[in-house]
Amino acid sequence: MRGVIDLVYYQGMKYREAADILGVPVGTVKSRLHAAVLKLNEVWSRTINEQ
Amino acid sequence: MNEDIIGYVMGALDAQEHQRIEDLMRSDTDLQSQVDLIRRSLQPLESYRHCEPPSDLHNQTLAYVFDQVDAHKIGSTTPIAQPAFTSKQLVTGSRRSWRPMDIFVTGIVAASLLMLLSPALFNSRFAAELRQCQSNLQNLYAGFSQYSITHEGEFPTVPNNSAFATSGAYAPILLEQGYVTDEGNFFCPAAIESIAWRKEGIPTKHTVANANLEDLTALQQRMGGTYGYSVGYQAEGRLQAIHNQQRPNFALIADRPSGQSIHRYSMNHGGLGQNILFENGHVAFVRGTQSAGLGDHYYVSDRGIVEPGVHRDDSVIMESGIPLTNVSQ
Repeated sequence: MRGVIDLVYYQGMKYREAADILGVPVGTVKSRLHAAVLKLNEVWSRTINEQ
Repeated sequence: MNEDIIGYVMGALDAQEHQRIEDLMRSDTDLQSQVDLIRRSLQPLESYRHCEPPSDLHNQTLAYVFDQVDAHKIGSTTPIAQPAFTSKQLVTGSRRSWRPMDIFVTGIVAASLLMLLSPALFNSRFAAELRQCQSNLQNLYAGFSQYSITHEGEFPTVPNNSAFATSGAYAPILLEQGYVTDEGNFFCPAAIESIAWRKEGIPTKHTVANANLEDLTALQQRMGGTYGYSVGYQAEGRLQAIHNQQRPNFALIADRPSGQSIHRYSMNHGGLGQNILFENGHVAFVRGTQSAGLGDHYYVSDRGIVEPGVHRDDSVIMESGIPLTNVSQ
């Protein structure tokens, strides 16, 4: 999941380019990013609630 | 939460998909709120991007090491093994010369360490330079955007003056008119020319206009820094300025192409790809030289030639130094 975020978010690659580099289907890149964003959203919501 | 919307926010979609989401967003307010939600979720990643080690990290590390040493001397009941040589012996005592086997073993250890560390060091430096380069392009975009606002939506184009008629003229124009204030933004940190060219600086219009023929070529090459620029397109027998339409797949400025590669890949990042700033302000590192959606080659025109575009949507990033007098007359 970290690799996908590094390539797509920090290095600005397209889904397709990240999939080529990681050697996985484009769908896998999409679903991993989806899971990462859900996780981040969960952390963000928890932080706001605690505040 | 839709995966395509995540891709849209991160700039990971192909040009057509990107456009599709933009079209949908115009009519769907719910979609807009989803985009805002994703942007908000990504904020922790943004803060991590700028995370740097504390400035006194080495002091903290040393303090920690000394604390541990002291703790061992005072508190530990286990005697610490005596070293084979005391420090005095090592410095002044019977100093044994290195045998061939010592040199061999040390060499092997050093080579192994180098092999282990090199990829990590390379990757870390590569990523840091890539991000600095992208930051440069984003800073330049602010200047381009401001320029277009005050020039009826047009980006800088070159005058028909023969000495100044090359794509790199955009840099002195932005600098001298105050749209960009930091000259460092014109130099990609990964480009090998950057160190020497930064020392010399971006030449002014005055310097170029008064240069002798011997110096002119070098000045023209350096004029645009280490970035290439899509200077305009050919129509009605002359070079037309690019009109800012916020197109997501129209390359405005990018790592400068290299004539050494048949595909004109940029060598700024070791030939591994190039950072491209698109007209809508998005910056991406792309490995190929063609836009994913439209198949437009970033570095040659639709005729496959190194020349300004042949129609208004034909973006051609050209390195500074290539004369444009033929098309601009």
